[in-house]
Amino acid sequence: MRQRVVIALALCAEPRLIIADEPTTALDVSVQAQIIALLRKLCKETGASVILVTHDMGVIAETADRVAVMYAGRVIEVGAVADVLRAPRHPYTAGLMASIPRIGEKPDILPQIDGAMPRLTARPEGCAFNPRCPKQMDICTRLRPGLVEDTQGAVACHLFSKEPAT
Amino acid sequence: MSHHNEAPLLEVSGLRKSFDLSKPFINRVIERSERQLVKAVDGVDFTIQRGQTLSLVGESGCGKSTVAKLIMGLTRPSGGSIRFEGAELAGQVAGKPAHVRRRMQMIFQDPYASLNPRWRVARIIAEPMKSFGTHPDPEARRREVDRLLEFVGLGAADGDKFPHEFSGGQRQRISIARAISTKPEFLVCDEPTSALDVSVQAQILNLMRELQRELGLTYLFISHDLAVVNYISDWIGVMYLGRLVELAPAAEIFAKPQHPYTRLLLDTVPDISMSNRDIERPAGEVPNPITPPPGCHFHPRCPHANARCKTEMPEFIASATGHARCHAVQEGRLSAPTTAPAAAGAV
Ligand SMILES: Nc1ncnc2c1ncn2[C@@H]1O[C@H](COP(=O)(O)OP(=O)(O)OP(=O)(O)O)[C@@H](O)[C@H]1O
Ligand code: SF4
Ligand SMILES: [Mg+2]
Repeated sequence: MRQRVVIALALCAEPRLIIADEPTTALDVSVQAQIIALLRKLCKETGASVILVTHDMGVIAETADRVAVMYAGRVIEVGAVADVLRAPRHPYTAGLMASIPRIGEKPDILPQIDGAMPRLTARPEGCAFNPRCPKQMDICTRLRPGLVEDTQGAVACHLFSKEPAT
Repeated sequence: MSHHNEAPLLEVSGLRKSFDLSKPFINRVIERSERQLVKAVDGVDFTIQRGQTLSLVGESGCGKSTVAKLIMGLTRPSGGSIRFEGAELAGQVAGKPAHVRRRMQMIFQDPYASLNPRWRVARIIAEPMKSFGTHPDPEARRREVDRLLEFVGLGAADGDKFPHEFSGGQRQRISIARAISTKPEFLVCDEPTSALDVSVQAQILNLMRELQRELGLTYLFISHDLAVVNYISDWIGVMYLGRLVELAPAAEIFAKPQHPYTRLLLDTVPDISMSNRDIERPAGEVPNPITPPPGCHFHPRCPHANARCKTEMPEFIASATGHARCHAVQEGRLSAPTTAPAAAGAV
């Protein structure tokens, strides 16, 4: 209820852009579903744009058109939600998607990304994800991959760099 | 409730807990207000076999944590019984009887709030061993702490640090090390991964499964994430407003949900395969637990409610897959459940 009041207040000013920071995190699944529906209806009817900040992949899948994945303070992958969730390109996004348990599947061990997110004061050289990356190459420890745009979106990973990694 | 012949490790029956939210007597007289009781837990029955995991799921406020606290003796039941290997715990205070309590430990949701910020990690982990007297010699205790730290994927050197030096996932590992330090057989885990993001959640869930295999632990696991519960459990109980509405093996409850509320929960789980993005979401919210609807608590939100549902509380009786509390299930007037899609719960 309180969350809906906040949303209503945000709308009074007829905004063009709404930034929603973890809008459903503290909510029940059924209320959460209603908030998601409300946000989507709103975009459709008023033409407002929404930046949704969340770590809930289910909410992203149900709400967003495009998604930007962040790691250690930087955007590492951008694309249409369906592309990024179904066929993630960055090894971090791929690891995240694989680690989500799914109803109807019961593996013996959940695929996991070993290690932990680095502290922002101790970001590794090169690609910040390299110590945890299953596909790490030589160049990854030396050079930070830039966010390279292509027809599908953008990825910051040497596997997708234009020049072949040397 | 289970098909094993062996006696269950934990047996909960008719468990009840009411909280009195009334104003003091004199105010009630002056303001003519009624007594206000919240029936947080209102007649819950389940058993857990040794080495198995039973999970409780349900929306916020349905009484999951209260069940956990009742079992751990952190709050006293208003009625019912809690037997651990046959020994009655209902009515006993926290920590008593010590020889039984030592065999039960709890892991909490918030790995930030549940560790004393002023204690070094080694002292935090050693505390249960000290209070239960399992390792009286300080040096042996420290050796055990070092072993436990490595067992949960940290290093012995981490014992000298303070909790704030660790990430959320690492703190949950510390909580787990503390919980298993007295070699308990039974762990109550109240939303142990809800504060963590998905990659850390996978690490903790894998660690818990590994501990279960190696130490033969029995878990009561609490979560509102159906996919997590599906991964970790042998049995799943769905709670609604203080009552269990369905209890069945994990392999069956989401494939063949019997109770209309279990079906609603499955329909509302955000679906990462994006296959039902445009379907209408079921409406309605959990009613106020102080004045729950009469009859079946779920009837105002239930598409199958009829006159009987509004007045008569359904009993918790055998269903096709386990137990369910629903007139329609019992009268056989529900259509066959649809199979659940590959959905992911909140992450
Ligand atoms: N100490 C207390 N005093 C009064 N009411 C309480 C107390 N503890 C719990 N309640 C009430 O009992 C009901 C059940 O609470 P409980 O914490 O067990 O729910 P829960 O299922 O764990 O919810 P959540 O998913 O939010 O953790 C709620 O209505 C709550 O407000
Ligand atoms: S008893 Fe009636 S109202 Fe309750 S869940 Fe079953 S059909 Fe719905
Ligand atoms: Mg709780």
